[in-house]
Amino acid sequence: MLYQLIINGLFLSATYALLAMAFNLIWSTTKIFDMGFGALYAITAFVIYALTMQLGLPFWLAVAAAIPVSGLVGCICYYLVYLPLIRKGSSEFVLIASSLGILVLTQNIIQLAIGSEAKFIRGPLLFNYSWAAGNTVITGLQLLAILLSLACLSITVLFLPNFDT
Amino acid sequence: MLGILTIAAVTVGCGQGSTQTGREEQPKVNEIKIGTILPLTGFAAEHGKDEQQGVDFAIERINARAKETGIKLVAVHEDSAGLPKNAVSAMQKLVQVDKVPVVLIGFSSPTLAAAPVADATKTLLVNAGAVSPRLAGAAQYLFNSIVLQDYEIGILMDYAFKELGIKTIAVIGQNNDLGLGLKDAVVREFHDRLGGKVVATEMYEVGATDFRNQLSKIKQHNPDAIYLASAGKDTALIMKQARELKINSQFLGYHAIEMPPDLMQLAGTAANGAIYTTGHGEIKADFVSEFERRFGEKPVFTHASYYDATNFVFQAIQRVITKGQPVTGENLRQAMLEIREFEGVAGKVRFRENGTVEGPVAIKRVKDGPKGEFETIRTIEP
Repeated sequence: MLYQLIINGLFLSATYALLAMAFNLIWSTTKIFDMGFGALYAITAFVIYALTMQLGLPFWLAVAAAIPVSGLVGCICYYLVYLPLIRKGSSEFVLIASSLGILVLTQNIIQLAIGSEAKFIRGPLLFNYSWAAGNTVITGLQLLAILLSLACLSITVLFLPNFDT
Repeated sequence: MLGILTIAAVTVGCGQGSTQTGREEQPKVNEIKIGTILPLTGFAAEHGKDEQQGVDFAIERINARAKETGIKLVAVHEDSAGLPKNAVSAMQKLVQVDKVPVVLIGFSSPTLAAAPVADATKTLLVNAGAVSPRLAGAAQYLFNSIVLQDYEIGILMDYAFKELGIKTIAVIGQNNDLGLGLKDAVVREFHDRLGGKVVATEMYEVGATDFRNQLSKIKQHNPDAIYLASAGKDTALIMKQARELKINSQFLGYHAIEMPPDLMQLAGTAANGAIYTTGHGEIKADFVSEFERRFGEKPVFTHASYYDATNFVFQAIQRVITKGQPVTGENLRQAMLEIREFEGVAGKVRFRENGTVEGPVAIKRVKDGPKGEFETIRTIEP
């Protein structure tokens, strides 16, 4: 029972840890409290949905394609919204408010493009396969999420130079 | 935003109508506005979409006969997002700005919140989707055209206990009027009346997508069955995650289990074999084929329920106009009680004095979720 709760917790926190690390990368370097960050998280998922379910691309290809797309969206947000405001010397509050605007805009764009109901992405069969040890069960998706998250966090830490801040 | 566009479209449409009657000798067509407050976005958006489709489909067909009946319906759709506070403000807007005499609504907590406003403004409020037992008699102007769960759960628990041999049950559900109302009904019927054991009740906050912790706790007790007091995609996700955790209990529920194919896909094969009740009998075959022709997919119970409710309201409107009375909420409510028995595509219902209905209840099973195949085990007449 305890082990099951630990596995459940690790799975849920895998995504949150990645989000926290990414948010920190933005915050510690640019001091922008980016509320539109959640929108980026959603856009990546919906791009994968559009590519796999609506266009029929294989899952891993869609994932590989979605990563640069979300990077591109982040760039667009920066060049269209943040950079002009920073050049004008806006305070942090203005940047936070504009990031809120990005969040609302993205939500509505996704609603217009795809709709507001929950959507289903058909992943590789490995995701649904589960391993059991006694009463504790872990699925392929959970295992992959935990391992990938740990890997990404380690690589980021390894490549981050040490700043004296 | 959509609300503003709809009002603008309605205003333009009204303008068009009045210029036409000047030109020819056209029979006078009464244009009646009805409001809807449905969860178009948010955690219940899957149901909201079906509900709106049912209403719009009914209005389409009613308006096609507008020349004979002399009545045209215009829907003003509002979004409750499944939240009570949005329902209250939507209700006030519909009554004060659009001046609608009747509002169709769905989902238990928003309906309970809007009910006092209906009483205060004497607007008829018709619920065709919310099933919490707490709705019975909640307001004088609240009419529930769908059988509420206290009656359905009694039937389902009887079937489970006596015929399926289920002696232990766990409940997992939303932490709101719907989930808690259903949980109370299950405890009352299964434990108090039949003598079975409710081994666990786990509630979750609406909007949650991961139920593994609640399910892990339920798994410890190893119940024969799990009752799903949930709605929308929660139901599909719960079934999927339960099977992933190697929980083999029988799934029991109500009509929220019967969802359109793209939502059943969320559950995949996990939903197959789930047994649930719907508040009406088998859906009429000609409605099914008409719906399939129009929308390209088979209707589920929610579509039929809102289609029926719109038609019942239309019948009340017809009666009020024939009597030469103004179309107000008060007169519509009186007309509904006078007509009393309505025949819809999902069966016949009979209104009680407190605005609830008695109707046939069907016990159904999911045969193949992703393909949208559901089979009826039995229909029980009132």
